[in-house]
Amino acid sequence: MRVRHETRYDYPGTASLAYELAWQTPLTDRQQTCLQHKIRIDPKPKYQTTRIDFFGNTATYFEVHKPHHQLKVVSEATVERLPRARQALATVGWELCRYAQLTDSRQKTQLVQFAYPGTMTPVHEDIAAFMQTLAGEGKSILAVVEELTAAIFAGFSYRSGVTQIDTSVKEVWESRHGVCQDFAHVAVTALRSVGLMAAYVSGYVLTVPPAGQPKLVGADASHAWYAVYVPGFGWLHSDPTNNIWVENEHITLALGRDYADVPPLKGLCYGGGHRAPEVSVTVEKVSKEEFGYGY
Amino acid sequence: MKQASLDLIESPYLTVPGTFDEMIDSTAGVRPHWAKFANYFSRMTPDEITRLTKETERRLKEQGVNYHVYHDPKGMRRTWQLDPLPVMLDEPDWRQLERGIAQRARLFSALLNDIYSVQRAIKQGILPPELILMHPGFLNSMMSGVAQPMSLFATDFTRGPDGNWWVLADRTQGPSGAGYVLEARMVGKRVLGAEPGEMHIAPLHAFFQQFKRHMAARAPDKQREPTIVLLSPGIGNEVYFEHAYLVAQLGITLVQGDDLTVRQGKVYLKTIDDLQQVDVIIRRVDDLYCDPLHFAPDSYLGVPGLAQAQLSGRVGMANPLGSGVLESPGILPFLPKLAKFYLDEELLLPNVATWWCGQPSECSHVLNHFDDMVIKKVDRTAQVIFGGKLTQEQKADLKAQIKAQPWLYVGQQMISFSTVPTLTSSNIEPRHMVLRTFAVGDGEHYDVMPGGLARVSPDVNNFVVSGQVGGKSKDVWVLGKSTNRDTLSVKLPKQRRISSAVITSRAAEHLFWMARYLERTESLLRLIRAYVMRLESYQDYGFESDLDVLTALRPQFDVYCALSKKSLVRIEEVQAFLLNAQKVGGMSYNLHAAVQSAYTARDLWSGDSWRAVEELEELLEYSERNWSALALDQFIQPFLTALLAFWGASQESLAIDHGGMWLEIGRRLERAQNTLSSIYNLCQECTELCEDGLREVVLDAHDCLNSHRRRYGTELSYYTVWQHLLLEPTNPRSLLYSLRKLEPLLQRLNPNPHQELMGLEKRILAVITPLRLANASDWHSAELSHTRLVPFLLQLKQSLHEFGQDIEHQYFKHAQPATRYFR
Repeated sequence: MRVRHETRYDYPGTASLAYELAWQTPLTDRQQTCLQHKIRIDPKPKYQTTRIDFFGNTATYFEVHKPHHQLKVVSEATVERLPRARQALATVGWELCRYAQLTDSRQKTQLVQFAYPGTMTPVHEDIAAFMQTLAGEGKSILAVVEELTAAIFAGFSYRSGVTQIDTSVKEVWESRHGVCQDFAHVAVTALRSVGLMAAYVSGYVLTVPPAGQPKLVGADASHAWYAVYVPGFGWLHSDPTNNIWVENEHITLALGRDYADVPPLKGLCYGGGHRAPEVSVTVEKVSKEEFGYGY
Repeated sequence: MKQASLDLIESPYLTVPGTFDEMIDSTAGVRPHWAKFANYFSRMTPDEITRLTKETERRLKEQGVNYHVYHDPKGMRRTWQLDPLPVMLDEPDWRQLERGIAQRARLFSALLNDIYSVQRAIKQGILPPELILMHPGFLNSMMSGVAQPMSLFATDFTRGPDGNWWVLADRTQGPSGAGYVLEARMVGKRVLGAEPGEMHIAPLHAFFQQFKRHMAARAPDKQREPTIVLLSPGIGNEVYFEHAYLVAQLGITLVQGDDLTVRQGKVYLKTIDDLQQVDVIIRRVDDLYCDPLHFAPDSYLGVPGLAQAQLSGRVGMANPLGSGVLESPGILPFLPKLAKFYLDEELLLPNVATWWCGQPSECSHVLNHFDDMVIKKVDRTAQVIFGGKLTQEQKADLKAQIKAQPWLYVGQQMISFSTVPTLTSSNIEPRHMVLRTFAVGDGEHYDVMPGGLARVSPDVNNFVVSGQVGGKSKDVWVLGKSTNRDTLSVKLPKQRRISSAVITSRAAEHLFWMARYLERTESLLRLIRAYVMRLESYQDYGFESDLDVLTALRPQFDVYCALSKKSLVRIEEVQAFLLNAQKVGGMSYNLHAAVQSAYTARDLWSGDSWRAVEELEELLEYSERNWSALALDQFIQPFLTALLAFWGASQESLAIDHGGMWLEIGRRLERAQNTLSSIYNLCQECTELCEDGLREVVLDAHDCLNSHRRRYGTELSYYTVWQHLLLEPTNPRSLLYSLRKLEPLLQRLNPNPHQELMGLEKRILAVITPLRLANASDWHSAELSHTRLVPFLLQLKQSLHEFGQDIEHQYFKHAQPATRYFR
């Protein structure tokens, strides 16, 4: 799959300096390989560097020093999805997947932050109660995730522009509407309330659906969903906004505790003033021949 | 342990049963190292005690030592509370502590580096993952950067009933207090004089030399002379005084977040000339406020990109961002194991028994022994709670919180802190104390300050010693023959030169504005003095001519701020204009602004200049409080005198290239503008400059009446007044004189003074030249003043205004609004 993600800020004024952090490099893990990635920034940054963050995502830091009215970040990537058979999980009880079941300190060190409530995913009694009823004794992890995704899909309406980046899970739970980020946060809060390890996932979905299928919500912008850690399997991704498993229509950018860990772009500028950015995303399927191995 | 006592002159010194007393042992004997002091105490009279207290207060006040207490009704600044009686420690006791502190520092530094790199201790099961990775002070973003040691380390100790030292807590983010120790030593020694007799006190200066050396060694680039700054949250911080004091002692630069800027992952200081690279930052801003890009996006105390600069190893940070996690009291119970793990040593200093609730059995122990526990949050966001002092309801509440997020809490055993002789209002009594020690080092080797800062509780059986609840501080003397010799004979390795402190763009701006506010106040006071004299004369005698003068003077006030439009300004109105701090442009408002600026540049002032600033502040406070009882002329003159004292002191002590220039530019510019505006208003509003009387008042308001008389005798014509006020090159209060004073200052700012004039120099020439070419006889009548002088002055006013704006744009470049966004 190929993605082009463009973010453009048109400042009302002139910005003299800008500092940015971007999580726009697709992740390479057991479920996808990032074959190629390029990020272009205009005006050209005076300084740019990448690092692997705490969770293994690639973060890009850059500074723009010259006066500018517009900041444009274009990220282009080619990704190969490696879908994994999850049927085996139908026999794994969800209780076995809890953080408390882990014994290896190494593994605990990597996963502990996904197991507990956080700043954007605090304890919420009603969500916990909802999750209690959903996670029946002995149920398989596959069923629990499937039902959780379905319940969020059915119980919440997708409405953009109503919620903000800092809208709390509590508000979303009570108002019953939001966007993909909000749904992911609700799911993560729910899963952690019963001791499961859950991640917020930032990424994209296919823009034009395969023939005969409806267009997916969140296709023209950056998307978000959640993942549960299953020992022995890895992260099991699910998209509650579209009520589907994450397989061949998604590209994963980064996994974090919540949105604030992995925003596609965050920054700070001096003198420019504030205006919402223009974001456009195009994701298309390409054949192997098209992007050509061996570059 | 029984109660022991020592007879003092007034009443006996009674120790607290079950508590270790630093001076008296359990058999009521005086410990040997306290002998001289006990002797001194027993000779003391109540008068002597009063004298000590008063003298200490006076000295501290004189030094301007402040400890800002949040939500204090007394206002923003309160003098730091110091008890001049020191705590005495004998050498063997201290040596043992010192070794323990140095070991502890090495241990914490090793832990810090492990936490932010491979996390060996967690992965090998020595530390539970939740303890570190779920601590709010653990910063994911700081993982895997270039390693830096924890170089500054403070520890709080108490001595238990058994006489052993116990660690209560460790401070690793920006441990404060070291500067206060210096101050306490200086004041204490002066107040006590030679009274207690000769002692061998371990001196402090070697520690501060080591401090500077260690800081210089943190510079990534070993070739250049390092530039070291202390990053402070600014005057709103409770210990801002200490920041300014330390900076002055060390000869480094005091900065706030927006004095710094990150460029290409390096940190730079905004000076008035250009950007100067910073090599080492001594950080007194908490981790999460240091970088609005990486952490708290709404912080105005930080520098965007600072975390990146540390990660890439391009700036030395003392301490590195992320050190906050080490302050978790939950780590305490694991230290013996960690000492083995990292250092292969036995832990030398024990800590107060602590149970981290993140472990199930420890948690239930805490919950079951709740009444005997001190409950703390691991990240210091909440006050210490004494389990036994809570109501049933509060207990249930807190227990539920602990159960919900147990890894955020610890329980600590309550321990009775040792007591130490402390001055009260009329006596010497035992008070509980906590000792804070300081160490500085490079991860491998640490130097420990001999002594430290003791803090004592406000009363007996109270174990809260924070300055925020009224506790006092004490100096700590380490006594012993060898301490003296030792520290003196230590051969310091050759110290690297560090580059000298610079004037930041912010400091320059504050000096500039401070001078303007003070000058504006001065001219306002003179105007009011002249006005009130006429007003009183009019009220007493009712001469019409006086009324005309008053009416004509009225627009003068518009130079400063808007008043009611009535033709006569009443006395009450003048009073409010002076002392109502809400009145923009009034005296009180101006002076508050000036004092605020003076605080921001606190590190620049000499002792006398600072005293003059405080004098002004006190005078203002006094006048604001007593304004109804005071006649106007009772406070105008003291203010003028205090202002002149400040100008005198600052001119004699603040070098031109260390900020003096900006005071001078601000003052001259302001005076020129005030003179211009006031004469402009005068000529524009009234075509009939009726009386000699008015001209006389105008001269008086500019403090020129006497010099005018000396030059022109009794003649008082338009010609002489304009000549004297505007064009006279030798009259220090004339417009031309003020402007010409600016010329050499601007020349200093010009990087190539021999090649060409800068824009600013040209601007000021454009004001000076017409003045020099002008002839006062062109404006020798009321009508000519109105028709010819007014447009002339208007032209000058505009040029001067532009000049002021150019200065701001060119040199005070840090003030630009920042916008944050997420996408």
